[in-house]
Amino acid sequence: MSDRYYVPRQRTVVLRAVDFGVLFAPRYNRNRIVDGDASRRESPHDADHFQGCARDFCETNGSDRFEVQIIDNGRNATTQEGDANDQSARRQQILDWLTDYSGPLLRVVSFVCHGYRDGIQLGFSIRNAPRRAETDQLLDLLAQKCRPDLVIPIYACSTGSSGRGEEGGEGGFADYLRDGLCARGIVRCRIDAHTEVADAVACPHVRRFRGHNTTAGAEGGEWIVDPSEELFGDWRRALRETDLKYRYPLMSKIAVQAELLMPS
Amino acid sequence: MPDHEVQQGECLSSIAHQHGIQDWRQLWEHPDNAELRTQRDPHILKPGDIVKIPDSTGPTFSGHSGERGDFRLTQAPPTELRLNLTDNFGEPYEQKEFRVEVGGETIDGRTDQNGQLRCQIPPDAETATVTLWYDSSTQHPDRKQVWELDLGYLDPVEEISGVQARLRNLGFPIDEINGELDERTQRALKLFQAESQIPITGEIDEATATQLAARHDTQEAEQ
Repeated sequence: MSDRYYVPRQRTVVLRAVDFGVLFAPRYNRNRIVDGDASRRESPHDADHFQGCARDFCETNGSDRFEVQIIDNGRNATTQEGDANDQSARRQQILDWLTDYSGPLLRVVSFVCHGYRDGIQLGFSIRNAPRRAETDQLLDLLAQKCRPDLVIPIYACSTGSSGRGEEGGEGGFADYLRDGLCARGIVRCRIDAHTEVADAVACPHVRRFRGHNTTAGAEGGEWIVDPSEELFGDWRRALRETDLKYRYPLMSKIAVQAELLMPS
Repeated sequence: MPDHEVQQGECLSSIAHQHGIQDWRQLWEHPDNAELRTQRDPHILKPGDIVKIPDSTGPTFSGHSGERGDFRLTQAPPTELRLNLTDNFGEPYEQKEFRVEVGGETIDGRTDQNGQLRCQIPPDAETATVTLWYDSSTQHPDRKQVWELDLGYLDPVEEISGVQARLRNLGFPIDEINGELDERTQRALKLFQAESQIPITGEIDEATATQLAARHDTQEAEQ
């Protein structure tokens, strides 16, 4: 791609900041994730699904601007026999990648993997103080390497819910990320996160946790399409059948709803 | 009166400069360019357009020998680069430090409260590099956005190449400005149409062209 921009002389035109992003996906799953929802069994094929979805996201939004980073499971990763519970190796790979990254500031950082209310399979959680400190390392790096309007689509289960009865996922993993980013100056950030256990990319129960141009964060998030709305059926269908599932993180809520009301 | 066939990258101010005419408005307002005026914006011409170059653009005066007269020189307008810089939510980057490198010069400044960057550039400059700092160029020199610009290359919105260039400027994924309505362009059009809340066709229909021009080309008084 040529990254040159054509503009006139003597005439005012709009230049919008260009999106660059990275999607992190796991290389391999073992058959059980103990470090999370212990009842959930996994198949190694899940990793193929996650990686395929991450690549489809890039293809949809500009493969010249978005890249996929495959994260190994940890020890003996080359033989695909890594310890599924070794979160530290995965976490470190992501932190290392961000540390070494020297390209344009990132607009999109996405995780395509298994998720839980308090964390994701790729090594970050807020379960206790030590885990939160590790996640804070991620937030520190994101604040250095990303634009103030950073978008984080978490294509994973449950991270948009706290499970403790709080409204709007307040206190959950996505809420923690949003508040942490705002506190670090990424005040226009936006995090899209699922509230249910479902397909990683086609789950329609999606909450958006937005920064409101203040370092104070906010209370919980809001539905992109409220499950109680009539439009929810169209939303569910569109996510299942079209590439909207890869486009909505970069769209406003109104634009998503307009697309559902005005399909081609 | 010779004809000048417009090449990619040219506009009225660069053509006027090329022909030694100080004020491009003299060229644009010449009666022989009346038809072109009805079709084009003087700063967004299409390659192949014909601009008539008058033999003389200077004003003529008649008078008697020995008569005195007062003459006032009018200054030709400078050639400017004007950009409204926004983030992807359309929020202006207001009061941000910028640097424009053009024609061997470096121009530092700050965007205004509407995120507008405005600076004078040489009329024959063909490229420029614009750098915008999100925070501070001294405290966080790496937190910046850089655009490499081709000046005068924007085609009219009626052309596919004009649509592609506008989509790219607005942040939509366009690999190549090739004048072809290819799959990538249609995909970018769909993204634009969804965001603009108009019917999603992937085609360059009237609603799309109108919306694209409205969002990209800021309406302003002729200068």
